[in-house]
Amino acid sequence: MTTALFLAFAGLALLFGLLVAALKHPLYAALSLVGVIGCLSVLFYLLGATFLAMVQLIVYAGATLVLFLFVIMLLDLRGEARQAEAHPVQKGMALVLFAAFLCAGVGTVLVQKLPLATKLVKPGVADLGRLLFTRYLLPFEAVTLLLLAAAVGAFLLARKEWK
Amino acid sequence: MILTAALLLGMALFALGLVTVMLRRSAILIFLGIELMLNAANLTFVAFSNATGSLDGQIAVIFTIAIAAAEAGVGLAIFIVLFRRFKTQSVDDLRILRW
Repeated sequence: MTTALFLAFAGLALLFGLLVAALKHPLYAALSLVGVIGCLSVLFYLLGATFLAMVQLIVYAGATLVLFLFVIMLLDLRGEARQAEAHPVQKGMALVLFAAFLCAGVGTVLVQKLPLATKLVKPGVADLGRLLFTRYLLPFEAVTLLLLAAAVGAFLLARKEWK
Repeated sequence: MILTAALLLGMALFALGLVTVMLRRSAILIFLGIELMLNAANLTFVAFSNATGSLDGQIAVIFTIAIAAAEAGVGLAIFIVLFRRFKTQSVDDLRILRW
């Protein structure tokens, strides 16, 4: 049951991922990315990461991607989608590199002797929080500083009277 | 089985993000490709965290999401400024720092 659900949402995520790569309009590509993130949230839940599943939905889809959509709708991008075409040589090289990367990655995964059954660990948020505030306290504080700097920096950059 | 599927999906999503970054000339679409690659890495982290029964992978995902949010905020602010000044968003036209 869990495996079937996992495979179904994995396929859906792959489909949305293909749409992100294939669609040329930024708005549709961003909406497809929201789909990818929603599917990944379900996969996180099935893999036992319940807290991350919620964070993925609320923070990633709800905040970061909505910010993307705001900016895309704020900028007048009509006509941008057509002119932004890659050079044919660039396209060919990108596709060759894509195929090579995919083959190498899939091959690497398939030759490993991975355990068939996964332990269905159900760690609660408490364990995660304890780890975050003990062993990972320093990186945690560093990230809070980074977020503050990013907020101030974004505000300074996007001010109207920027010289 | 599930671990293999998750790793394969992570690999495929990462490759799709990579090809988006390489093919598209629009800054927003390149940014979306980067976000797709970040999500693929997150899935791999969670899958390994589940397989090993350790929570360290999930902690890494928390940091990735926080850093992706910071990156998106600053990056989109830069796009707005660029678009306001140059009326374009194609990375082929924005080349005052190249030549």
